[in-house]
Amino acid sequence: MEAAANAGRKNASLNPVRFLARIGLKFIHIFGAIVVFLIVWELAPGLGIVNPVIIPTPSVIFDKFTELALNGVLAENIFISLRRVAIGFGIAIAVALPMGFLLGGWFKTAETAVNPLLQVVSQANPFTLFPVFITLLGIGELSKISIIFWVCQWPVLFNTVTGIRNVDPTLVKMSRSLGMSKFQMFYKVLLRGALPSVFTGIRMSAVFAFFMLIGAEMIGASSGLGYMILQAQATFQMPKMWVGIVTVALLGMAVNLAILYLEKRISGRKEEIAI
Amino acid sequence: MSNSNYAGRAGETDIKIEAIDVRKTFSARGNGRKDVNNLTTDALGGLNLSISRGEFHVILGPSGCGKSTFLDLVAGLTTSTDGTILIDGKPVTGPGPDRATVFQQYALLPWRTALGNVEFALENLEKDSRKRRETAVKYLDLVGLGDFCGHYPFELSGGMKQRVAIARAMAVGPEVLLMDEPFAAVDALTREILQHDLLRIVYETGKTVLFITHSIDEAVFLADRVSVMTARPGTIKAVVPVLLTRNERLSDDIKVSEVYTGTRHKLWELLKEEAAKAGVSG
Ligand SMILES: Nc1ncnc2c1ncn2[C@@H]1O[C@H](COP(=O)(O)OP(=O)(O)OP(=O)(O)O)[C@@H](O)[C@H]1O
Ligand SMILES: [Mg+2]
Repeated sequence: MEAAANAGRKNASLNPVRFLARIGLKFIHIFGAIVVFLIVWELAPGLGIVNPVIIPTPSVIFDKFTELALNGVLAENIFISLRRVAIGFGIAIAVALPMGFLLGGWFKTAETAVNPLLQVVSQANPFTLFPVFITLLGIGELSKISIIFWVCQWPVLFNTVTGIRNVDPTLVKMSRSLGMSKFQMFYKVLLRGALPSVFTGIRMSAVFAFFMLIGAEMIGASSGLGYMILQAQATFQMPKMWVGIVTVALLGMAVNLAILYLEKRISGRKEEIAI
Repeated sequence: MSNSNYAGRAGETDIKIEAIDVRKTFSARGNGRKDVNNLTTDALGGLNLSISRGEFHVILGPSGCGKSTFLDLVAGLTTSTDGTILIDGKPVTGPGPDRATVFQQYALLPWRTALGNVEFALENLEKDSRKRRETAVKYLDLVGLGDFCGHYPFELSGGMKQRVAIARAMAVGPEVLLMDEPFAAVDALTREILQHDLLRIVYETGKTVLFITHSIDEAVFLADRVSVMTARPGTIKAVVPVLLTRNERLSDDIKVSEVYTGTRHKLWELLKEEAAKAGVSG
C-alpha cells in the first residue's frame, strides 16, 4: 500500500539544469500572461494608448506601493479592512454553518418552511440595505461588520444545505445498515459529504466580503482600503488609488488561496475533472 | 468446508432467515399533487420464505416486484406493514452486525480510501484503531485488493469498488450477507470473476447469503436454491433448488452441464410469465 501511495511521485531525481528549466517553464506557463500584461501596461502610455495621469504605469504604482508600505499608511488601512472582513466573515461562518447543518440535516420540514423566505431575503441587494444598517447601528464599525456578516452568511448557508441534501442517500442507507447512530451518520457521512459544497460557499462568501467591505468603506467610513481609494481619487492621487485597487485584488486572491489550501488539507485527494 | 450440495442437507431444519406473510405497502406522497395523494403501492403481498443456515439463496424476480423492499426489511432498514421476519427465530427490529448489506451502487465513501471504507464499518465494533486496520487489511486481502488499500474509490474500477464493498460487509463478521444486485453494474467478464470469487469466499466462511438478481444465469451459478418472485405485489412464486455441488461450481465449466441448462430453462419459464405481468402493470 505504501508502494501504491508513492507511485505518483516519480522523477524525484533530475539533473539540476533540467530541473531549473522545468521550473522556469512552469513559471512562464503560470505567470507568463501576467508578465506580458504588465509589460504592455508599462509601455502603453509611451505609445499614447492610455493617459498616464489617470492610469499610471505599473512601475509608478509600485513606487507608490513601496512608499505607502514603508510609511505605514498601507498597513494600517489593510489592518482596519481585514479586521472588518475577518469579524463579519467569521461570524457569518459561525452562524450560517450550524444553521445550514441543522436546516439541511435535521429539520427538513423547517427548511422547507423557511427556505422561500430565506431566498427572498437573501435576494435583497445589500447596498440598498446598507442605509438601513447605518440607521439602525450608526456609522461605526458595527454597521460595516454587520453588513459584511449579512452578505457572507447566505452563500455559506445555502451551500451547506445543498451540500447535505446532495449527499448520496445510499451512503446514509449504508451507514444505517452498519448500525450507526443518527449522530454518527450526521458527522461521519453528511457533514463530510457536504464539505466540498460548504467550501464553495465559504469561498463565495469571501468574495462577497471584499465586495461589501469596499462598498461599505466607500459609502460610510473614515478608514480602510475602500476609504483610502475613494479619498485618493477625490484628491487626484491616482497612484495611491491604484495601490489601493491592486492591494484589494491581492488580498482577495490571498484569502481565496488560503481557503483553497485549507480545503485541500481537510478533504485530501480528489478526482480531477478532465474534459 | 462444505463440499456437499446444498440439497444434500435439505433435511436439516436449521432455519436462519424466515419470512412469515410479510407485507409492505408504500404510501406514495406524490410530491403534494392532490390527485395522487391517496395512492399506495403494495410492494410485498404476503411473502413466505425460509432460508437455512449456510444456504446461498437467490431471489429472482421481474423489475419492481419488491426484491429490494424485501432485502431492506431483512436488513432492518425499514419495517413491514404486516408479518414478521425472523433471524435465528428472533424478529428483526433494526440493523445489526449479524447482517451486512452489499448495495448495487457500491455505496463507498468517496473521501475515504479502500482501507478507510472498510474501517468505517468497524468503527462501532472495534475501538482499537490498530486492530481495525488489521481487520480491514485482512478482508481487503480476502477479496484480492491487498495492493489497493490506499486507493480512493475514483481510482478503482467498478469491479474493484464492489470488491471493497464486499470486504466491508465481510469485515463486520456477519452471519448473513445481504446482496442487492451487487454485480449489475459491472461488465460481463468482471461479473463472472466476481461471482466466482464470491462463491469461494462464501464457501470458505460459511455465511448465509441472500442475493438478489435479475439475471437467471447468475442465479443458477450462485444459488443453492432460487426463489422466483411474482410481479407486484411480490410473493414467492416457486422455490427451485439448483442441484449442483459447490465443488462443481468452482471447478468445472458447469454452464454447459445438463443440470445447469435444465434449471436455467425452468427458471426462465417461471420468470417469463411474471415479467409479462410486470410489463403490463408497470
Ligand atoms: N420508498 C418508496 N416509496 C414508495 N414506493 C416505493 C418505495 N420503494 C419502493 N417502492 C415501490 O415498491 C415497488 C417495489 O420496489 P423494489 O425497489 O422493491 O423493486 P425491485 O424488485 O427491487 O425492483 P428492481 O429489480 O428494479 O430493483 C416498486 O413499485 C416501487 O415503486
Ligand atoms: Mg431493487
